Amino acid sequence: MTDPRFAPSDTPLGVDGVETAVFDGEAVLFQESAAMVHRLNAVAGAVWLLCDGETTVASMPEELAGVFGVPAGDLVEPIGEALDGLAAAGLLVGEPGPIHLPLVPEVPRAADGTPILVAPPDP
Amino acid sequence: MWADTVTLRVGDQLVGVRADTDCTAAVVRDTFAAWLEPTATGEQGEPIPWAFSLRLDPDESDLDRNRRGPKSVPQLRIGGILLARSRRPDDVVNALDHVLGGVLARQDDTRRWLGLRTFVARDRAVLVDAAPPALKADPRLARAGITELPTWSVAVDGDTVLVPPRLTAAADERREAPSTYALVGLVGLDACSHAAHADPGTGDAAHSPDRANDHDAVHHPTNPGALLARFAARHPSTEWFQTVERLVADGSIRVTTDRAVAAEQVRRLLASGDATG
Repeated sequence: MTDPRFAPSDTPLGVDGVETAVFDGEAVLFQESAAMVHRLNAVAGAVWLLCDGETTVASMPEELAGVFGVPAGDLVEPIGEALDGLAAAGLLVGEPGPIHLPLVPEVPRAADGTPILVAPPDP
Repeated sequence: MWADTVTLRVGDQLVGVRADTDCTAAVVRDTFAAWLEPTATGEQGEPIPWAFSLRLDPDESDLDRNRRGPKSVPQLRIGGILLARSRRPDDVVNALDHVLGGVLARQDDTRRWLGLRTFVARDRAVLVDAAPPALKADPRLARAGITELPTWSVAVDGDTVLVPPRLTAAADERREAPSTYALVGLVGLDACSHAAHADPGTGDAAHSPDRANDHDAVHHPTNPGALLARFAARHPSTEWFQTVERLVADGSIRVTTDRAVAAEQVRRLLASGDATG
């Protein structure tokens, strides 16, 4: 069993430059620096909103128990998974996210170096 | 056999347009004389490859001699993707003019360019994520006064859609300004095999409503988060994300697998807020 990434006393903080839209049951985030859209389930969306740099990991289950109408103990594992997911996506300060290497197709060029427009592949 | 390929220099790009007949090639050369680049070659001296295919003389070209139906109508394609089709060849040349204007405009990377199809009525636009030929020259839309603009791509600035001017307008001192429309909605038309709805036990393609609903919920979701994630991913910018979020909140984004439903949704969105719509 691997150690949890976050200690109970940790206070995760979301990175800057993220637009958040919250809907009933999920959240959608746009991370400008990575040009990435993230779609989160209800628990992960709620955890994201608690990543304010002040709320401890230990207090999150209690904070969300009332929201989801379940015992705090039932939320410990889903919250841990949500934090791991947010960290892995590079959405938390101090947690390096994945390296994004944009797939830039090689552009064919003319003899004088001018790029040539190529048709997209057939659908 | 295609008769010829004409090479044009559009801004900082070379564009190959292949023509079905010598007459069609002559039309391209006449129309876009200021952009001709007849001596350009590839790095190894090979001809510039074509990106667009222009077919104006289907009755004359070998391509369609034994063929009837949609492919025997004058048309413009990029690769294998149909961009425009009309019985009037001038319409198709005009479409190429608009599309090349978009190729030029898109080189301005300070704008947010979206590769979505644009359907307009009066000063309103709905952007549509649908692979041609679906909804091309759709009679249901035409009857409602809705036209699809022959654009390569459009720019979106807040709730305004900017459609680039024609390429030939760039050589005109009275250069056309981009046309602007109010963005009133987004529609996604998903291609979907009905086999996906079939009962795996019986293989019965006469799918039950429950089964179709289950399939749609997984593969063509229409809940707000799914709609926002889908369309926001079309352009990586905070401004576009916020625009899509507003449209989601307004209920102005629809996704379907049915062409008739998609056409109806485009019509309704363009008619929304219109007392005469």
